[in-house]
Amino acid sequence: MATRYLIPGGDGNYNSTSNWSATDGGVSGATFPVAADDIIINANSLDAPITVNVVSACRSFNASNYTGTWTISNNFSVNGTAATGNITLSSGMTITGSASFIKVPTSTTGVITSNGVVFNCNFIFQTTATTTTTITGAMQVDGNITWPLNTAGSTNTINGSTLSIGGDIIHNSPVAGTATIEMIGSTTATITQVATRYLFNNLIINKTGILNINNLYWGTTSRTLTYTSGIVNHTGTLFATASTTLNTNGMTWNILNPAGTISFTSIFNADTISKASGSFNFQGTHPFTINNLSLSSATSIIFANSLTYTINQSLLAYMTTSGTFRAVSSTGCNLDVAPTATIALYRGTFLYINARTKTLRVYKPVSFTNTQNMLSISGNINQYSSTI
Amino acid sequence: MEYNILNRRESLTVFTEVEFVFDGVSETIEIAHFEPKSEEEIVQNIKNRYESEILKRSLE
Repeated sequence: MATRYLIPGGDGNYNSTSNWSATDGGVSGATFPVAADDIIINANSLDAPITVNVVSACRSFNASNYTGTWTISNNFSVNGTAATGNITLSSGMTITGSASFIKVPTSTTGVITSNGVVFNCNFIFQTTATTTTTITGAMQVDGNITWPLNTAGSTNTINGSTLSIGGDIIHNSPVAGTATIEMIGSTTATITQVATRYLFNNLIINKTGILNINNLYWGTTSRTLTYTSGIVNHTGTLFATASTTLNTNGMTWNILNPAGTISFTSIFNADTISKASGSFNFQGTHPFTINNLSLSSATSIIFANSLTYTINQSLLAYMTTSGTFRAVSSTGCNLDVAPTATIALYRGTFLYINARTKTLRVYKPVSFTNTQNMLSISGNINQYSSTI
Repeated sequence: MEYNILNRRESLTVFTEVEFVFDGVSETIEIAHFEPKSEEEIVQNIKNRYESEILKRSLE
């Protein structure tokens, strides 16, 4: 274990002893840093550039008073455990390259302090177990960010400031924490996940380009998913956990699979809201506008008071025996179902719903002659009332 | 009833109603800003939305 200081006058290749000294401001000739070594870059480095010309590693990376360029041509790992594996960048320095800057926290804590420096390369949180990393000051990665497959399914916790990502999120193990994840930039990007490996953090979509999402497993209690800008092509299902907030007016989801209570703080647009079994509670300050609502084996479907929910194509509500389809209270809500939409209701008690545009109605005697599949009544019909 | 508040965290979303002009036609769009750090961030988000709306219209 040693400390290596970047010094000027070398050839600029990471694995050359011409760039490294064993003392601050000392002479060259020290072995280049390896996984157990600490790298220090400071004013005595005189902004000497370094190219990571071979796969390389160090224990910690500490740069200050340095405005030189660190070129990631091969993967570069910072391997230290706990507080020994911190990354501190110097304001004004450049990190760029086609390979990956890797944080390998093998223990529980580590700190990344960007000081405004952008990782203009890919970044990997290389974890094999439960880890916690703290971002001090905003962190930005213009390339892809990866949380590799963690066979244990252990959670990577990212706390602190916002982590902004210009490229893809490749997300194969759970990610949690108080840091906000923000998708930015004009580069077409994707979010790729292993199923059920949730992204638990607050998430912002704030791109000037295109974001392609298939299935997205997102959220935990009190987290918010916000759409600010970008073209979002959602082709799969948003699996949103209970007690989360969706603030995504301006884009349209394909399918929402909600768990429990979901709050909308702007109009929620989707083709379909669908889930088999559970209780569903749509709250918040705004309603949804969707094509299809399909909730089966539902113990309750609850809507916020005083809002108008719009369904354009089909409403399928298959309730349990004691299931209820209702607004929160007698204040009630409006349910606008398109006149051409299909409605299928199975069991359930309906409370405080004002269906303003379409009702299931039989008006005066009706005859069916030479028809097929016109009407199916599988239960009792209560005494006729002109208003239900 | 006994209870103990262990933690309290508040979250702020700012909503701006912005008038844009696309091909000479005025359109009002509400933009959400999750926990903005500054007014500059709000302005940048508005610019981002304008760019993405231009791109969306060019692809239609």
